[in-house]
Amino acid sequence: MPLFDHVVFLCSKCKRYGKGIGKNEVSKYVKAGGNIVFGMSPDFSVLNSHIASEFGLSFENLLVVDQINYLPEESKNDSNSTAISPRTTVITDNLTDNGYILPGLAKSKRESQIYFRGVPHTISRKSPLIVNVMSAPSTSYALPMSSALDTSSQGLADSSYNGFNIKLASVIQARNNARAAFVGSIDVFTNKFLRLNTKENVYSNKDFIVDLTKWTFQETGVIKSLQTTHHKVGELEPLKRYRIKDTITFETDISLYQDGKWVPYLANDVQLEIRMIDPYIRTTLTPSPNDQTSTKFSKDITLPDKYGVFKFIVNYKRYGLSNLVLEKIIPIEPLRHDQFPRFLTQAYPYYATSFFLLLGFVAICYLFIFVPDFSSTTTTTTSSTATTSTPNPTKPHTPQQLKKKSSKNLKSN
Amino acid sequence: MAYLDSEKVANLLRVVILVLISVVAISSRLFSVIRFESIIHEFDPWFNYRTTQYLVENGFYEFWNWFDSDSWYPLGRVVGGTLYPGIMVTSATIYKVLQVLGIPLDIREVCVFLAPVFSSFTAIAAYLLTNEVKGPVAGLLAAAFMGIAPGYISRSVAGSYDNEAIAIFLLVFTFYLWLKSVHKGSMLLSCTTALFYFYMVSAWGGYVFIINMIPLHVFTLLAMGRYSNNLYISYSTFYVIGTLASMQIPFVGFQPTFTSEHMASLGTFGLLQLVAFSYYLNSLVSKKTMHYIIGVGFSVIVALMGLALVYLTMTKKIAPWAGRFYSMWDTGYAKIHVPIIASVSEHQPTVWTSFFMDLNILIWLFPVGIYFTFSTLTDNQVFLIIYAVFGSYFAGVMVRLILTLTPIVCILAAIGVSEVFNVYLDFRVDSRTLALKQSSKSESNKEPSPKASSEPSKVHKMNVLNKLARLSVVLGFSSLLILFQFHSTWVTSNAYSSPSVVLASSDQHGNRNIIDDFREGYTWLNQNTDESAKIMSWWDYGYQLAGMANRTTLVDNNTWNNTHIATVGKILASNEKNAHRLVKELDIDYILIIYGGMLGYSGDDINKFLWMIRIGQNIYPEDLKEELFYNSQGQYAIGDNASPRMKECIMHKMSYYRTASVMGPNGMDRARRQKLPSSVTLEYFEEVFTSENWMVRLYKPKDFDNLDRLPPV
Repeated sequence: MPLFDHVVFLCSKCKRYGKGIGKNEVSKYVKAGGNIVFGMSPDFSVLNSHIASEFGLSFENLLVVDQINYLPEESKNDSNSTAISPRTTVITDNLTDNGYILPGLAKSKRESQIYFRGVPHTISRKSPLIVNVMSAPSTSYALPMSSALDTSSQGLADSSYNGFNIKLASVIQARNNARAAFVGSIDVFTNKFLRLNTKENVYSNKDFIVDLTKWTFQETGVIKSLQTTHHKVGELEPLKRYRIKDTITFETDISLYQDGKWVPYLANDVQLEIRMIDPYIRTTLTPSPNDQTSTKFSKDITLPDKYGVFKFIVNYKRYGLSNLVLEKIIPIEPLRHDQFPRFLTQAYPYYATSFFLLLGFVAICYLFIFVPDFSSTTTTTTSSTATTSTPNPTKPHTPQQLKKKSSKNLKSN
Repeated sequence: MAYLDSEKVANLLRVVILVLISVVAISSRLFSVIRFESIIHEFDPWFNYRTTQYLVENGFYEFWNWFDSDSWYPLGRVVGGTLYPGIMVTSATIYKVLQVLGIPLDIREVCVFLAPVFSSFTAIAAYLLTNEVKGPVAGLLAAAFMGIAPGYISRSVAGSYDNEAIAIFLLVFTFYLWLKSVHKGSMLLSCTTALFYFYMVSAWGGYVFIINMIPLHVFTLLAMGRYSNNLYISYSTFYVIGTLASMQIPFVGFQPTFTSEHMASLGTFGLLQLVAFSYYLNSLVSKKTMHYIIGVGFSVIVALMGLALVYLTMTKKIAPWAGRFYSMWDTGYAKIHVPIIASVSEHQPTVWTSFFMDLNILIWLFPVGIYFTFSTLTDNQVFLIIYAVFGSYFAGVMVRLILTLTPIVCILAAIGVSEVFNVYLDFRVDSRTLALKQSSKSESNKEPSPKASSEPSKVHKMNVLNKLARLSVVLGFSSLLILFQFHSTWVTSNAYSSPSVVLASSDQHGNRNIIDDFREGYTWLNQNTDESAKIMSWWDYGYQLAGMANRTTLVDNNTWNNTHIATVGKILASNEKNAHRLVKELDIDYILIIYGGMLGYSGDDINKFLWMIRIGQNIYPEDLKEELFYNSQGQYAIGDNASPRMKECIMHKMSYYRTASVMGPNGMDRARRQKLPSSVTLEYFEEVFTSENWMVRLYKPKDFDNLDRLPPV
C-alpha cells in the first residue's frame, strides 16, 4: 500500500520531484493503487511530459486558442488595436456524456460551459483504458507557444490540433482500477477559474473539477462484488466440480459506491461467460434486490454437454466504472460409469432377445435331458417337437444348431 | 546309490534352468537401479506411475472415472477412459497383496521392478510356447534368449514402467494358450486364451497384433485345407469371448465392431462358420451337389461380404485406419500427413544396425529356425511362420516394433540352435540313428553331459574325425551363444539403462557426473509456484511435469488432441507479442524450455523445434511456414546467421536468452556446434529459473501492463 492514497501534480514547470521520483516511480505508484491528478501548463518540463507519456498521452508545447468561443474579458486587451490577438481562454461544451465520470453533467442535463486555458494533448496509445473527457470546441486550434500571442500566426496543419480533435482533459483507469486524470491546464484548478461561472443552470468549471477529482479519487464510479457463489439447483453448497448438463445457479452481488456508502448497483447488462478456449455459454444475469447495499445478479444455467476445465467469467468493464472481473475455474466432468441411463428404450428388442435366448437354452436343456427320444431322433422330428413345445418364432433354429454342435462334439471326441 | 528316474532328473533340471534364466533375466535389467537409483524412467512411465498412485490412493472406481483436470488444460482428460489400465491394476494388485502379506513396499518400488519380474515370466512363457511347438530343448533355449535379448530388454529394464513391460509376456502367453487350445480343441483352453487376450487388451494397444495374428493363423489353416473341429471350437470360443471381453475396456469400447483393424477377425469368424457349415453339409449330401453348392454359394457369399465391407468403409461406417496403421503400410505416410507420429523417434523405420544391436546372432539364427519349421509343417509351426513374416515386416516399418518381433526371433532361433545341437551334441550315437529317433528322445540340457541317458549299450564307436567335426560345431555355437550373452549385457548396460530423467556424463579423467537438471527444474516448480499454476512445455515433458512437479500441463505424451499440441507449437514459434497474447489467453503461468547447448545434450527443444513447426503448420498453415525458419542458405541455423523469423520466435529467444553473456562473445552451442547468437532480448517474458547446467529454463509471461504499455513494463 502506498503512503498516500492520492497525489495531485500541479507543478508543470518542475524539472524534478524530489529524490528518486521519476516517471517509473509514478507508474509504480499507480500500480500500487494510488490515484493521481495531473495538471499541465504550456511551459511544462520534460519530466512531466515523460510522465504523461507513460500514461499514453503526449503533450506538446502548444496553446489552445479560439477566436469565437472565448472568455469575454480577453477582448478588452485588443480594444485599441486593429488586429485581434488570439484568445487563449477558450470556452468548451465538448464534454464526455459518461455519467460515471461526470455525474453532475449527465444527471442534470444542463448546458456546460467550461473555461480552459492551457495546453492540448493527443492520445498516443490505442488503449481502452484511456477516456477523453473534455475536448475543445470546433472553432479552436492550437498554436506554438512562441507565436500564440502573435496576432498574425496561423493554426497548425495537423488535424489533431484543430477543432474538437484537440483533447483538453483525459482520464485513465489502469488495469488495477487506479485512476489518473490529466488536465492540460493548471489554471482550471485556480480559484479564479472555479468562480468564473456560477450560474445555476450551467455546468461550470467548479462542477467539472469536482466531478473529475471525485471520480479520480475513487469516490464515484466504483463497483465491487463481495460474494460470488454457484451451486446446483436445489442445493446450497458450491461444489468443486460439476458434471455435464448439471443445472446450476450462479450468483454474484454487485454494489456501487455512491455518496460515501455502498448502494445496490442496478444494470441489466451483466453477463456471465462459461468458456473453455471458446465461450460455450454467454448469458445475461438477472438482477434482483438483495439487501441495502447490493444487487444480486443470478441465473440458473444448464452446463454444456462438454467436459473440460471451464472458466466462469463475469467480465464487466464499462467506461467510467471500475473494472469488475470475476473468474472461477471449475472443471466439468463427464458422467461416472454408473450415471449413464441403465435401460434404453430403443434397446428393448435386444434385451428381449437375450432373455428369449436364455429361456430357449433352458428349454433345450430340459428337452435334451428329460425327453428320452430327443437326442436320438432325426432332424424332421426334432423340428416338429420344437415348434410344438415352444411358441417363440426364434426357436425352430435352436434345435438344429444344437444338433450341429452336438454332432461336432461327438466327432471331436 | 539310488537311481533317479531320467525323466524326473530332466524335469528337475528344466525347473532349475528356468529359475536360473529368470534370475539372469531379472538381474540383467537392474543396471539403472544400481547406477542411479530406483527411479521411474523416461516419459510415459511417469504417467503410468502417477495413475498407479492415484489408483492406490483412491480405489478402482475413482480411477475408472478419473477426469484429470490437471492435464491438457483447459480440455482435461478422461483418464479412466483413455488408458490401458492393465499395468496400473497389475501393480496396484501386487502392492495390495504385498501389504496384506505384511511387506510394506512402496508403490514406486513395485512399479520400478514390475518390468524385470514380468520379463522373467516372459522367458517362461517363451519356454512354454516353444515347448509346445518343438520340445523342451528348444524351449529352454528360447527362454534363455528371451531373458537376455536386448530387443526386449530395451523396454523392460527396471524403472521402465510402461505397458510393454507386461504386454510382451501377455502376448507370448496368449499365443501359447492359443496354440495349445488349437492343438487340444479344448473350450476351456480357448476361454483362457480369451481371458489372457482380455488382459492383453487391458494392457497395451498392441493387442491388435494378436487379434490379427490369430485370425490370420486360422485363415491360413483354412486355406491350406486344414480345417478341423478343434480349430472351429477354439477360434469361435476365443473370438466371441475375447471380443466381448475386450469391449469392456473403455478405451477400446465398440472399436472391435467398426474399426478396420478388427475386421479381419470378424471376417475370419464368419468364414470359419461357413467352412464349418460346408463340412456339415458335406456329411449330408453327395459330393457332386456339394461341389456345386460350394462353388456357387461361397463365391456369392464372399462377393457379398467383400461388397459390404467396401460399402461400409466408403460410407465411413467402418472407421478408417488410424494414422499409425497407415504408416504401417506406407512409411512415408506419417511424414506427410501426421507429423506428430513421425516426430516420435520410435515410430521411424528401422535401420539395419538396430536389428543387429537388438538381436545380434539371433537375427541370422532366425531364418534357420524358419527353415526347420518348414520341414515339419504342423498347425503350430504354421503359426510361427506367419508370426515371423508379419513380425519382421512390422519391425522393419517401425523401430519400436522390434519389440513384437523379438519373441518370435528368440523362439525360432532357439528352434534352429536346438536342431543344430540335436545333431551335433550327441557324441554317443551315430548321426543316422539319431536322425530317426530324434523327436522321441528327451533332451534336457545343452551341456554335453551323459547323465540324461542310461543306455551305454547303444553307443557306437565314432571315428575321430566325425567327433572332431561335431566338437568344433558345438564349440563354435556355444561360443557364439556366450558372445551373445556378453553382447546383450553390454547393450543393456550402455544403451538401455539410462533413466533419461537423470543423465550421466564422464569427464576426461573418467569421473562420472550425474546431471540432474530435469528434477531440479521440476522440483523448483513444485516448491515455488502456486498449486494451480499452468505450465506450458512441449508435449514430451508433459507427463514428467505432472508426475514430478505436480502442476497443470497443457499438452502431454498422450497426444490425443493434435490441435492443442499444434497450438503449443504455434506459440513457441510465434514472436513475443503474439506468443504473449496466446499465452495469456490460455492462462499459462510458466513456460518450460529444455536447452542442451550448454551441455551438449542433443535432445533439446531447439532440435525438436522443426517438428513443432511442422505439427503447428499442419493445423495453422497460414501462421507457420517451415521454410521461413531456414536462413538464406537454407540451413537450420541458430546463431547470428539465423533467419529473421527464427530469431524472433520465443523458442529461440528463450533458449538463447543470456547464453552469450555466460559463454562469452565467441561462445558455442555445444549441442549444435554453431556460434551462439550475440544478443537476445526478451520483452514480454521474464526468466524465472535456470537449472545448474542450463538444461531446464523457466520463463514467466509478464502481466498485461497496468497502463497498457507495450511491451509490458
